[in-house]
Amino acid sequence: MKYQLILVDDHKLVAEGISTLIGQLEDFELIAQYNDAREALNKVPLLKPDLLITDLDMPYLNGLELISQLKQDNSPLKFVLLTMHLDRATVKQCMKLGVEGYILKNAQASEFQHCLQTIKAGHSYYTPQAMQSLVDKASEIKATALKKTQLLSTRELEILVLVAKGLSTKEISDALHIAVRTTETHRKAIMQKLEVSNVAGMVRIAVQEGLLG
Amino acid sequence: MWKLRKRLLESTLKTIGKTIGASLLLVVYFGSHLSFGQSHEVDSAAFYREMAVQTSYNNTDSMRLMLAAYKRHLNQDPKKESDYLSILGIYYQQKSQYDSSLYYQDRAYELASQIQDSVLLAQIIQRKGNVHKYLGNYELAMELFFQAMSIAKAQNDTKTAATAGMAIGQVYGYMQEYDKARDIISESLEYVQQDPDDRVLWSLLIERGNINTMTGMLDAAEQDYSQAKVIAEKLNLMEGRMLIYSNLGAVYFFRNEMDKAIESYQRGALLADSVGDKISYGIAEMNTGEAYYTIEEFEKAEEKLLQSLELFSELKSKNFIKDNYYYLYEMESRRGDDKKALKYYQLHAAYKDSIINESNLNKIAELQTQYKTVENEKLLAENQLEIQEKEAQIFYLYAGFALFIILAFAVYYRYKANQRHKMQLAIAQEREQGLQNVVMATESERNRISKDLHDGVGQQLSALKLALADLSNKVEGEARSEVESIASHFKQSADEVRSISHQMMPRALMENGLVEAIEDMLQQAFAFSSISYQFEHKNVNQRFDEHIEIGLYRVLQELINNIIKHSQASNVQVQLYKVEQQLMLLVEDDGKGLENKATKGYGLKNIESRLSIIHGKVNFESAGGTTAIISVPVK
Repeated sequence: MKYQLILVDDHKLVAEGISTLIGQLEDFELIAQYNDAREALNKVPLLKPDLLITDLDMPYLNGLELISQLKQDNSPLKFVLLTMHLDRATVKQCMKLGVEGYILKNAQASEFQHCLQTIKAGHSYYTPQAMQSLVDKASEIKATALKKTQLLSTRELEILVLVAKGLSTKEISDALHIAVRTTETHRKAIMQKLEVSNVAGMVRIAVQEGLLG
Repeated sequence: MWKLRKRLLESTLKTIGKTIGASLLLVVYFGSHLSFGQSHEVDSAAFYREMAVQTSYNNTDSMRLMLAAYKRHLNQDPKKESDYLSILGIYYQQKSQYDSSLYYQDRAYELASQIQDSVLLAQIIQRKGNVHKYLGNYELAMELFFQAMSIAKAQNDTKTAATAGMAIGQVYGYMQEYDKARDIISESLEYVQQDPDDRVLWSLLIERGNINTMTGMLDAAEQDYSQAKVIAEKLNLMEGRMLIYSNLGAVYFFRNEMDKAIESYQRGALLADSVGDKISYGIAEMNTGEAYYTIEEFEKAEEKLLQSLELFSELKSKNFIKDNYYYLYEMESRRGDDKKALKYYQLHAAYKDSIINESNLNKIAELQTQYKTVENEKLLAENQLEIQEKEAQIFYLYAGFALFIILAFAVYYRYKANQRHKMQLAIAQEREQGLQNVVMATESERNRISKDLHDGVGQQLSALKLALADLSNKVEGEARSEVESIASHFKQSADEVRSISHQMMPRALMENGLVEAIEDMLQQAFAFSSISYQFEHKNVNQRFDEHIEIGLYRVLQELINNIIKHSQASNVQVQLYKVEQQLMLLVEDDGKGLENKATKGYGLKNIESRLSIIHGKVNFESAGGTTAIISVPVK
């Protein structure tokens, strides 16, 4: 028996293209196609397909909402998100929901075929670009105990906090009634003691060691 | 604050008669305190002394008679003699003969120190301070008041101490040291509350209320006046109550609570009417009129202002007629009747000029009569000395005039500066509002175009590419490779549309907040460059106001564009963190720095105007690379 698919996409032209593509695949059969996600929501439980392919941005109900409503424990139904979007947040959300496939609308026919076959075989397929976007460079600065800033004098601490609050050297000098040169010297001393080479490094330590509350 | 001070000055001028009344009460109180302190038996000296003090403020001629009678009952008692001389000093002070006043106070002081009567000494020093206060010798006056206060405190004479404290507060007030003034008056209030004497308490409360009003602490002022009102009612001080209603009205006026202001003024008017005090009645009506036109009830305002004008005209009090015309002018100009406004303004100006001329003549005439009277009375043995004194008087008078004119100019220029300042503020606000509208409109338009691109053109391109791929399966040979090449061009176009749409309005920003959006942006911006980056954040996992999120995102976009285009950097560090109520964005690169000013031009302006809308600011520092630190206030 062929693997039964349902396609949901509000964009008729795209839906047609995809259905033509599926028509050429031997092991797969498109049993229904909807332009309105609400209709799909009603019909899918009756038709019991093996796989639902859905667009993300749709009126009334978006693809992820549709998936989360259809997704039930122990249900054999699988999902592929077919989208133009490639942002981390969407990819992460799909993984969280346990969506089996993630593929871009402008994928090559061969990739599309590969995706369907991988899922049919019981694995997941996320397009490589989507996986790439998950490489997480953003990191939360973690709090640590006072350590490096203990080396600083009171005045240096004061200046460090003002730097982190966005004051320029000139503004800091005015605020503390000291010469610009003095402030510069203090800043150099702070960097040396904290073993950093730039403002970002100074601020990171100030944040880490809780100087900014 | 400007407007407030100016208005307060006006209202102070209006109520000047009353305020003098208030300070008089205080001195009257003083006299009574002294006589009670002396003895319980009925004593003619004490009686005449009391009468002299009582008459000192409205009738200097009677005072002179009472003083003469007091003098006959001194019985060579040095304490009484000293007290007599000091009150004689007050007499001369009232007649504005300050040199004579000081002369008698000094003699009183000599006597009091011979008999070592510290209570008396403190009072004399206090009075001497008063003379210097009138002369404008504030430093000396202050020194004397402080001296009086410390002696009085040592003698447990809380009333003199409190009075000295109030005088100090007044001088601080003249010097615009309002905080110090408030402190010392509050301190004095504590003394009198230990030994409450209602009249002193009342004066102190009024004084502190005035200072609070001056400094815009209207709630505190209201409290002081309300407390003073209770005392005035208890003691049945008519004038005192009218003063309070007028001042309370001003507080409400400044607080923009016009209904309350009108109510308070009207109560004052009622009171004034019932005691037949026409001037106060007129002032209260005039103030009511002002409050009405402030809330644009022009008909009621006009009624009140014309009523008060009629009254002032009846009383021929030019000063108030002048003020009244000014209010009428302001009312008409607000109402938009420029013709009437001009007419009233001209009348106002005409009265102002005539007052200045008249008061000149009056003062000179008064001085001449003073000469004669004094000669006849032969109070001072040496004529020569007397004339010198008079010359000094004339000098003070002219100095006073000069001071008055300078003050008037100062007030006028402050008013003008205030108007200019308000205008500039309004323009700046308008500009900011305009800028904000433009930016918001741009953002919503971007959002719309981004959606259109994404949902329309983008999807169609993808669909067409699929159709072409399908077609390529159906054709053979050369045609097939051509179709495939066209399909790959379609793919490129679709990718481009997707990336443009993303840049215009990132989905992540709208749905997941700044951290996700920034990470997305950095990843895509640096994907095809040799620049590496780190992005760190702290305390920013919440959502912020949409303007702030979009604003910061755009600013970062601009900064990153500049870095890629101009900086030749190899590493970029981005930090987003919150300090207290500030959201901070730090972008640091290790490029060639900001030496090329030309590249800053448009981008920097863009950044600054973006930030100005969200009340943020940016600092650039360049030391082996560029650091931009941006701070934006958040709730």
